[in-house]
Amino acid sequence: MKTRLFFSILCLVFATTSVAAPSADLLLKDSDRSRGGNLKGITWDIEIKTEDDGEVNTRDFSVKAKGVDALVEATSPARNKGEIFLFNDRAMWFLKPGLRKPVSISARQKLSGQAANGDIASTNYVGDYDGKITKTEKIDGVDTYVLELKAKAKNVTYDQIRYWINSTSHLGVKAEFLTLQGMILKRATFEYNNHINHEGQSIPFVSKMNIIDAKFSKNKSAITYMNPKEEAHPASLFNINNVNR
Amino acid sequence: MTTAFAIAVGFAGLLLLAGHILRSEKYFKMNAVYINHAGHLSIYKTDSLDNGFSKPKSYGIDKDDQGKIEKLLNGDQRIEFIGKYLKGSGLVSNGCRSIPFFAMGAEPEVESRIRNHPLVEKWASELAGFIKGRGFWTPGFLPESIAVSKGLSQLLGKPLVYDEVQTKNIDNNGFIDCAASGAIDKIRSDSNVQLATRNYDGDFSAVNAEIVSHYSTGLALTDDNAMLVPLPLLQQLFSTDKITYMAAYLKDGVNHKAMVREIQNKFNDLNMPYVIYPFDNDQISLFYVGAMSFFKTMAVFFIFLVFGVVALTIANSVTMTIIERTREIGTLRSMGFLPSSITNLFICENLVLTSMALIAGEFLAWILSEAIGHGHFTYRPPGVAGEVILAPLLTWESCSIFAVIILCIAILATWITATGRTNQPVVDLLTSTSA
Repeated sequence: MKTRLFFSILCLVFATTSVAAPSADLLLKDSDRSRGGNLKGITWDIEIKTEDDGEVNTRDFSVKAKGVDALVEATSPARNKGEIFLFNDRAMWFLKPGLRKPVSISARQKLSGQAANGDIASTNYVGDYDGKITKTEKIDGVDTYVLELKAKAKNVTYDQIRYWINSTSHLGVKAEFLTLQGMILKRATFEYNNHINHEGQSIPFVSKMNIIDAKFSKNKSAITYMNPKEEAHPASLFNINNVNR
Repeated sequence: MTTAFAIAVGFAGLLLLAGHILRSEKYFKMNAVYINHAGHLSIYKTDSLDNGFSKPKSYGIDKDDQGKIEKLLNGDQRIEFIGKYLKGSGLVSNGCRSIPFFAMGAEPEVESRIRNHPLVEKWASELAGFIKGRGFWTPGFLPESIAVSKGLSQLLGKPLVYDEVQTKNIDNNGFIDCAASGAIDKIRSDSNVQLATRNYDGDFSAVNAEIVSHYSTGLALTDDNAMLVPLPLLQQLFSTDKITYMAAYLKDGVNHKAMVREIQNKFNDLNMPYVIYPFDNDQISLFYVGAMSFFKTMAVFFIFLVFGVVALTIANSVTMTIIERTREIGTLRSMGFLPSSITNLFICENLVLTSMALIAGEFLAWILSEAIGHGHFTYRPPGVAGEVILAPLLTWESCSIFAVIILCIAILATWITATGRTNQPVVDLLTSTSA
């Protein structure tokens, strides 16, 4: 009798554990990591292909990130070469050769097409947003948690995000970026065909982010992430005083 | 005497009100046409006013068309000069923080002409000069010289202009450590800023700029975000050689409305997709149109009020006079005077009285207007940045129009009141006990 009771309790415990959802913070932390967020040091290249009113543009950047800081340098086209975007947590700076002082800019400003400045750096949703799991949903046969993210501060890239995170791999699958009033500004989907070695393990890393304007679906941008690799960066690399000199 | 006094005061009030409206119209017109660069006529690409802000590349005027438009306008003797303008927005940074701006890119020589235009100096002297500093067209100034509105300079924490920085021999190229305690002082000590925006190619772009003057746009709405930039510098920032519109400044007294139709027809004949707007179009100068509509409504209300008072005062005065003179009217009628002749006597009497009152009223208005003018009184109309000089503008046209209307009212009021009594039977008039 005692044995049966023990097994019944054990089954109940296991059953509860298997259906309990992870916390929103854990999901965001894991999904951020595969988008370059809060890693000790990482480098990757990006190509932003923009289609705006039928006009197609391509721009390349090299990104170095560490924790909440990132240094983004334009590499092509030639006219933009040498331009730098520096992210110190939520503060952002733009510098270019010949500019006497750095320009303080906002993460919300559009950088190219539908991609905002904040989209090109590493993602730190866990630090920038308060998340809440609202429901579960199947996206293309994949089970996901749907999170509602609300900005903790005014200077983050978006006021609200609806974020679909794969319930098994904890990777962000899809996002809707919303205004303060809840109106959808743009939609994004993510692909993870890159891998990085993180603490001795190979983890998937974002390879493409497709952003589409919610109102004008012809206006879209595709950010392709290439050559991601973990590498140590000195803190001085992200110091505006050093970058400016 | 009381009637004459009422007419004189009412007439003086009307003249001062009309003078104030006329003066305000001149001020708002100078502000719209010259200071805010609408020109008397502005030429935009078709649909540019609706879509130009979101798609400036598609709705800007390219170099070829600029030349064609210039060629078309240059032969017209009624045009004093032409200006090319590029409008754009972005962020202006003091090295530590950025603030949104709305810039007007203007050709330095045209801007200099506007600021020194005799009409601007006459009617909007408050706006002609700069609050501080000199124009960016001043010889010796850098090509990156700009003028910022007073409110924007305060938001940027940049109280000094280039001249002051030069006199104080301050190094304005130094990098600012925004976290350091002396950052605010360092920002205040130079006149250097950076302008940043997303250019016509969709790239993020930035240029250096030097604040050489602070100015007022004359409008509260734009006085804390406006910036006046040399056209080449703004074109460099936006990586374009296009402009947003062209403005034609006409010689004084030219009928701009007739010219709109005329030039529009020329564009249509040449199949050029351009629209001409007069400065008093609400899409071009919303503030001018709104302010003048308000003044006109106010004027109509007061004019009817004063005319009504004058009419009632005269009617009342004539009634009293006629009642007092009923037996005299009867005597005149018994002597063979026709009722119309007696009515004419009353009309003549009141015309003399009203004319004298009008002369006195005009004299009173002139004294008051001179006193106000010399008192240098200022007022702050709603929506206007800064103070406007209160100086009613008395003109012979307004004096004559109002005088004629008041004289007509006097004749009509006297005729209506007198006719009834003079047409009564003679016996009734002679035996009247009301006199």
